[in-house]
Amino acid sequence: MEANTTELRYGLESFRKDWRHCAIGSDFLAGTHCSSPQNRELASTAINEMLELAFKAGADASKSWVQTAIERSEMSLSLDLTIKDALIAELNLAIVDFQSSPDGYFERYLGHESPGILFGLSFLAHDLNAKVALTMSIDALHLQVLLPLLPLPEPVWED
Amino acid sequence: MSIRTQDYQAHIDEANCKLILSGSLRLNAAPEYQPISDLMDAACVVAQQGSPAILTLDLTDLRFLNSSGINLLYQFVLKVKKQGGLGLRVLGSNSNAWQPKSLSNMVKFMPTLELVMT
Amino acid sequence: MGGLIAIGRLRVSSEFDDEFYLGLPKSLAPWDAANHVAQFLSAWLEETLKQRQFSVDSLNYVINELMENAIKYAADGRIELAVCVANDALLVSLTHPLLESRAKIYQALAQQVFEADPELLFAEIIERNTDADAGEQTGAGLGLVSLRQNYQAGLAFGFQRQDSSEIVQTTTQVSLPWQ
Repeated sequence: MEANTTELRYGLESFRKDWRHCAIGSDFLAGTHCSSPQNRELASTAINEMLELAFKAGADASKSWVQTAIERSEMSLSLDLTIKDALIAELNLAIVDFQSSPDGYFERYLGHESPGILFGLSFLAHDLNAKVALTMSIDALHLQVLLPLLPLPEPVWED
Repeated sequence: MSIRTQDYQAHIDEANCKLILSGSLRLNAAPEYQPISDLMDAACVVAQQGSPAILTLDLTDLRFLNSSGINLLYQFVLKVKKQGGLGLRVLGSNSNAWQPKSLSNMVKFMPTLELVMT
Repeated sequence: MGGLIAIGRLRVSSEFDDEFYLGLPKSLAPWDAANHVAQFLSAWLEETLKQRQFSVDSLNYVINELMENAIKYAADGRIELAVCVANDALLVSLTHPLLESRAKIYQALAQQVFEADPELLFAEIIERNTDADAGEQTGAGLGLVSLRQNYQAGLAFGFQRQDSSEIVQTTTQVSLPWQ
C-alpha cells in the first residue's frame, strides 16, 4: 500500500446490512483527506457513489470483501475500490454499455425511473469531471476514479 | 465562571456549590485540561464558603471522557482529600457507559466521597 | 530487539468471521483524528454491536484510547486498526511504528499492565501523575489499565523489529468479551 493512502477493507456481508455504511464511510474518508468543506463534500459525493455501487453489486457471500483506497495529490483525489465476489455476470452488460460512452450512459438514464446500476459513476464523470475506469477479473470488480478537487486553500491542522 | 466549547461545557453553579461538566471531554494530555482544573479549584473556593462545606461535581451529562480526563478527575479527588476541610459529592448517570465503571472507584480513593448514580 | 516479541496471546485474523480494517498514514491524523476514527468505527459497527448487546460507547472509548496513543507516539508511517468479530469477543488491534527507544518504554509498560493487578496499578499511576509535571504524565499507562479494570479487556502486545532499522512495528490488541 502506498505510504500516503488511506485504506479501508471490510466484509461485504456486514457492509450490506445497513445502507448507512455508504454515508458513514464516505464522510469519514472525505474528511481524512480534505479539510475545506467544499472539497470534503465533493469527495464524499464521489466516494458515496462508489460505496453505493459496492452495496448493490456485491454478492451475499461471507468471504466477500471490499477494499477502498484513497490518495490525495494537491489537486485531485485518487479513489480505488475493489469488490471481491461482485455480481460480475449481472454487471457485464452495464459495464460494456458504460465503457462505450459514459456520457451517453448518463444522458440515457438521467431522469429515468430505474437508472442503470452504473448511473452514479456516470454522474461522477459527467458532472464532476472525474475520470472513471472499470475493470473486471474473474471474481472481482475494480473501480478507479480520479476526482479533480476545487482549487481552495486547505486549512492547516493544528495540534 | 464557565467554559463553553463545541464539545463540552463546564460551569460553576455558585448558589448550589456545584461544578457541572457536560458534553464530551477528550482533550489532548494534561496541559489542555488546565482551564478545567482551574475551574475546579475555583469551585472548591466557592464550596468552602458553604455550610457544610461540600462541593457537588455533577457529571450526569458528561457523555464521554478519555483517560486524560479520568486522570484529571481522580487527581482532583486526591487533591480535595489531601487538602481536607471540604466534602465531595459526585453525581453520575448510569446512562453514560463509562461512568458506572470509572466513577465507582472514586470512593476507594476518598472514602468520605458520596457517589450518587441515577 | 529481533523477531517478534509477544506479551499475551496475539490472535490472528484467520480466526475471525468478520473483520474491518483501516490503515492511514500518520501524517493524515491530527490530534482530533482519534475522535473521528472512534466515532466512525462506532457508527459503522453499531448494528453488529446492537445484535450482540455490546455498548457502542465502550468501543468508542477503546478506539479513542488506542488512537490517541498512536497519534501521540507513533513514528512516521502507517497506523493500522483492525476490528474483528470473534465468537467470544470483539477484538480491536492497533499497529503502528515506534522508534526503538520509545518501543522499549512501551514494552516495559505493556509488561507491567499485562501482569499487574489493574486496580493497584491504576492507583499507582494516579499517585505518580499527581507528583509528576504535566509533560511527564503516563497517559498511555492509564488508558491501558482502565481497559483491563473497567472493561474486563484482555490485552496482548506484539513488538516486531524491522530489518536494519530503528523502527519497531508495535501492536496493541484489546479483547472485549461479549456480555
